[in-house]
Amino acid sequence: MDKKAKKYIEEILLKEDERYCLISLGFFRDIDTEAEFILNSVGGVQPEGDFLHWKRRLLREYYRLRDFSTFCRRNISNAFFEKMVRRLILGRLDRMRMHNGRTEADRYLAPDNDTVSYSMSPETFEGLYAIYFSNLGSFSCTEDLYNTCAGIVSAHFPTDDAQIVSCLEENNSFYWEKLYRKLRPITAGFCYQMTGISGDNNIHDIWSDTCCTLNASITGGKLEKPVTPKAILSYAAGIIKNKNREVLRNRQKSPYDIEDIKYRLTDEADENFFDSPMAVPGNFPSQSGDISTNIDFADEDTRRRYMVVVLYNEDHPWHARLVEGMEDRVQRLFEHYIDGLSYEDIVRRHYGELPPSEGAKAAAKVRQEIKRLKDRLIERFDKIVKEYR
Amino acid sequence: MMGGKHVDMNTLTDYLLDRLSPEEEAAVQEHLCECPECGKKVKDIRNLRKAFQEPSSVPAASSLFTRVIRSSWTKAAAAIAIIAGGSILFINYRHHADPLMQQEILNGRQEDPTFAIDTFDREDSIYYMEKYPDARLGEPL
Repeated sequence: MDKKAKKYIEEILLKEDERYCLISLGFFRDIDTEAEFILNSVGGVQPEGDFLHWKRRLLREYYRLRDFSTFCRRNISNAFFEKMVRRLILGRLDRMRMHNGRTEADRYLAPDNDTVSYSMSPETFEGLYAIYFSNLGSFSCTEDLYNTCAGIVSAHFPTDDAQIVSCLEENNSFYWEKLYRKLRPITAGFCYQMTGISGDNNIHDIWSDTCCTLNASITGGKLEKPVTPKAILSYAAGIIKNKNREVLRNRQKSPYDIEDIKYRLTDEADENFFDSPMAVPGNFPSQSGDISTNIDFADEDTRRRYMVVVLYNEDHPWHARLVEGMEDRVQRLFEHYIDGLSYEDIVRRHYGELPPSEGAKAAAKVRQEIKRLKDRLIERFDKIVKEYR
Repeated sequence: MMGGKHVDMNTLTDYLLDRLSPEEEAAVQEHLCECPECGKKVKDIRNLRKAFQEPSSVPAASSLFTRVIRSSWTKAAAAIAIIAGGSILFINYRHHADPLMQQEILNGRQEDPTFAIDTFDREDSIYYMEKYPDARLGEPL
């Protein structure tokens, strides 16, 4: 058995499992067994020529022998299979967004690092899944499944501006939530300039009032037809201005300078306007950070995967915040799970040789510390995600 | 995609989060099998991931509520509360079991609590007689 070939095959299968959840779905028994199966049953296992070409040929043959197509047919109603397909589509959408520019709707209705045109609401997914997966064609291998998802994405996205506006008019909470988040830094900018109110908590009332008023106006069809994303944002800006005027009137101060203030409808921070660190959109948690919009943060497994990457990657913008104050314990967590050291080895490395009773006590302490640290990290990561979304 | 000899951390991150296209993924895979350093990084992250897939034996140990619930003081307080509650229940049970006492309680409940309300304004009351000295008992005013 060629070690090199086995190494390649194991890596390929590991990735196949990560992407398509094949162990959880019951298609893979385990990586070793499947690798053995390929080495014994599939011809041409030696990597040769173009790697991509070789990999494709190998996997096609493997999935044909394991009857992947029947497996898909049987699992079409499986919620876990559906979840996996959703994840594939979201991944493709994310790529599409990165390659295409921001649309008009994104510019006016989505927070700066988010999108409305390249996002998929749960209802949209249900509709697409029913159309494309109820009369299931033949998926002979995972690549076919991936290509189908890629096809769905190119056929249905980016979502048309008019359709997004129509969803807002129908009070679709998926799109409204994004618009509300968009309005938050804009509210901060206006408030700071017009009334001097600053700080996330202090602008909350004006922001929430604006959201309610805007929602009532759009769903009530009060805007002039045809409603465009730009018109919606301009209308929202008008509401915020009025709210600020009201605050000024209550303070009995003449609002003589209000009309000079104009909000430039752009996704770039205008330094003249947003001249306070409190008001710069980029300083709002929901607007900053390297975060992929289409990572499904509602899914616990996806969240954990992302958290592990953040924990390991010291350059990630969230890393410092995640491990803050727990650096030593994180080091011990790495020693245990990455370096494979036992709790006793960790004690020996950090405290030297201790008498047996003390050593055992210290090892138990390290064990408990690591277990608690995992919970603490999960808790903290969930908090960060909540803040950024 | 790859900076110099190694795959950069962002691409590895994308690889692990399934954000690469099949072509990019194959290129990274080929490199991972050739380069022990990059292969180790991916292996490390996968090992860490496994750590977080394990069910935790100390669920939410860090939460204040759980710590309060688990403290020995809480247990002692709970024991006292159970004993006190048990005693009260026992006393109540004993009283309820006594038919005479039960009857006494029932009688007490059945007594008209409004007995004193109109006494001042009745024909035979001192107040009535003082107010209407000419009135005679049994005759309407």
